[in-house]
Amino acid sequence: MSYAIEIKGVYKSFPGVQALTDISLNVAKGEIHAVVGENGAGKSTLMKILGGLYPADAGTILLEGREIAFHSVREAIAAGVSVIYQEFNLMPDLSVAENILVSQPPVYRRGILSKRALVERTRSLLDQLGIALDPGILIEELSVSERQVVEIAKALSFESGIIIMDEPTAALSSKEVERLYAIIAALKAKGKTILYITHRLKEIFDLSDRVTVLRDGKLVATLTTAETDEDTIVRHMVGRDKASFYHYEPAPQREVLLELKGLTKDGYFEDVSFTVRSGEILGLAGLIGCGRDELAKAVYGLLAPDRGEILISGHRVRIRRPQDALRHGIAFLAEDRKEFGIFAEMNVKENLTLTIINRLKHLFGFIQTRAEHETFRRYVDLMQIRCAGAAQRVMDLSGGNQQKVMLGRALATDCRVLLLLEPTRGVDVGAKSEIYTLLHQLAKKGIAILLASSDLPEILSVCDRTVVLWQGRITGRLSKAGMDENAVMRCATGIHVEAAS
Amino acid sequence: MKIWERYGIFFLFLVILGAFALMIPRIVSPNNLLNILVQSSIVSIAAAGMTLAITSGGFDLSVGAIYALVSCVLGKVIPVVGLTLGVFTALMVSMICGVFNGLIITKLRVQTFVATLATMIIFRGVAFIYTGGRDVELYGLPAIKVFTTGRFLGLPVPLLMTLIVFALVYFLYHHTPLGLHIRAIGSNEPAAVTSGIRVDRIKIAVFVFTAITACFSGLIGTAQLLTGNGRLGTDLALQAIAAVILGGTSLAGGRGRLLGTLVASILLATIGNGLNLLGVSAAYQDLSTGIILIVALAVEGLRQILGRRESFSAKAVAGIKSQEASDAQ
Repeated sequence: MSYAIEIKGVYKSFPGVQALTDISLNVAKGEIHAVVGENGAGKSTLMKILGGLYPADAGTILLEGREIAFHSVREAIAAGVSVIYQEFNLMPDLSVAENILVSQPPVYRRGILSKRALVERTRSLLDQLGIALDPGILIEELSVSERQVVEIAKALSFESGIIIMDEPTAALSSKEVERLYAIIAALKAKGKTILYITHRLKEIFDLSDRVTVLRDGKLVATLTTAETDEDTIVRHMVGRDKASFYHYEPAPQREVLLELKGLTKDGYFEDVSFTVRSGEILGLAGLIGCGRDELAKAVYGLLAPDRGEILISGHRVRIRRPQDALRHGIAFLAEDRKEFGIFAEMNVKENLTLTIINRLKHLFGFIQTRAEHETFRRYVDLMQIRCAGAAQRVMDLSGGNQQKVMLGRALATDCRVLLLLEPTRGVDVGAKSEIYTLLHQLAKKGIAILLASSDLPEILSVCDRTVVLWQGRITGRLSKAGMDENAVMRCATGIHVEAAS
Repeated sequence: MKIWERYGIFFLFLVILGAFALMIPRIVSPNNLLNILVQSSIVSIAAAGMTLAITSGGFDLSVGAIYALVSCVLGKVIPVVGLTLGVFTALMVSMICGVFNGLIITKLRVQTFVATLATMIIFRGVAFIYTGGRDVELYGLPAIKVFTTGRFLGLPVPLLMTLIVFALVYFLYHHTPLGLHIRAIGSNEPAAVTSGIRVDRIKIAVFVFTAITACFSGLIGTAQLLTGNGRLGTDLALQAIAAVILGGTSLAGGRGRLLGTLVASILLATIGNGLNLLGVSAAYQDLSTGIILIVALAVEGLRQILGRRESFSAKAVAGIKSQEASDAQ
């Protein structure tokens, strides 16, 4: 039988890291094959090799029985492989139609662009996916989910037989995820083979026929989805039992450090009031667009509220810019690492010490190298950041380790209040639990933590209390005892609304 | 912001022209207006090519040097082989300069700024060596004056050249795959690479375009001065860039405004003309060019700052809207 993809004995290494060791796996035509593993397990590397971004060091890859060795993305596309990355490869200033057909623009004779054919072909591709989108809109005006549709349409336009998706649901709302499921079903009906990288176990069981687990660059298992369960997969991924995660003792809670009174921003959130005590981890839950993200940003000074008060240790404070927040001891860890936090080109040490570099100066203003290095060492040890050294560029770290660096930087500011926005998005299970443990250690030290997240299991297992938002208003305040998926969901969807206090 | 991007330059032009008209009414006489258009042609043509360069995410600082080199080539070659072949040679030389620029940037991976700064010096050096450091006279070659005082179809040749260049660049930009790819590269170069666009080739082509427009500018300028030497055209690159930015093209790339470039370039010429008529000395004209450049960059900077704030809340709103939209489905 000829498989769509046969991978035999593939190895790949980068300076300092053996990314893939002896990977062998087969994928049948028309199969939806999930690939899971911790960050750093090698999933992205494998996909990038298939996608033509770089070649394997050793091993063979066959597509439909023919051996291939891509030297460029163009070759991969020509051979029928399209990869849809987490960061989309789209041109924001160009329209939907232009983006989809940019590599194969329809022309009249004499090389003149046929705008009509551009629009028509785009419409037909979008119809095949069951999506209606105006081909003339510029990409920069589209939401994440719509941009993803454009990427998929691009893959379709290349008539790729193999479509690889890297964490496609990471930034989607539940309705958008459903739409993606429908699109994937449409692709499967067309006989496309789909490789699907994900952290979300639920999706594996919703979508895939088979699932491969990678760990530390090795292939641990390839299972038939119908014949396995969540615990087994997690065990393969981390070598531990799922149940052994997320155990902690709540920290003793002391005085109120952060208090919001009637905080309002028209159009985003309204009349939000709650307190966070020293030693407490307060969850901020809700669906995308509920105002949760904007609320967190407002407390940090990235957004200006219209009405209401913010109090730190009982004193009313004015926070108009992040500098103000930092001055009051508030630190912030953002969701979108690339946009809000990571200085990708700089190394680990620089990223850690950036915010507090002023404290590490000599008399005449020069940076004290030793103090800088001590800071680096302290946080690497504290957070168990896996890196090849102070000089390693942060962009080469895995998602989870990048997040730890960001956390380290926030902590280095000696904050008393820590705001977290989706802190473990794109982070693997193992690193997640390490970060949760760290958060609890921080709480024990007396820091007040506000955790805004759309990851329900995260909220439920990490937080002491939860405040749920719906359409900008608080619809539920749940204590530890009352926190379960059902209760949070009911508040988040507006089914249950607490009485106005 | 969108309104400024689209129409701002027109308003600005009318305002400034109006201001001058109040002081010197004869500035708007048809004769003078035609004068302005002709005077603007050197910068306009170079700015057309520069618009392409900036749209692709780069720019070309060496256009002034190519202009100077062209003047030298014309001066030395025309007496030997006549006007037509002389112009052809100048065109070939400028294209070689363009390819040279393109190769340094694509194959040697030198950053555009540094590369064109260096070639600017190199091309001028070549011009100096070629002329032995002396000026080349073209007084004895009246044929070349077709590029400055000549008329064709009732219009001054420089104006005609400007119109033809802009028409061609417009067509290229809007109606060819090459134009689409230039915009793609400027909008997101890594994505263009992974989309299979031949980025290197296109970048070289863009530099050849800027070089060709510099050559055309050089034809007009040399015809006006009837002199060729390696010191000419020192303002050209910056004026062209200023015109492009004032005209609404974003330095970030991906979006070019050709019509804006044309109007901005005419605006610059109008200011020069107006100051002239007011009897202001040439020194102040340099000052005004510098100030305009700062204004142009400040406007661009302001636009980016405001644009970023807009996009921040726009993203949040978009997030809510997409949730509402998908809830409503």
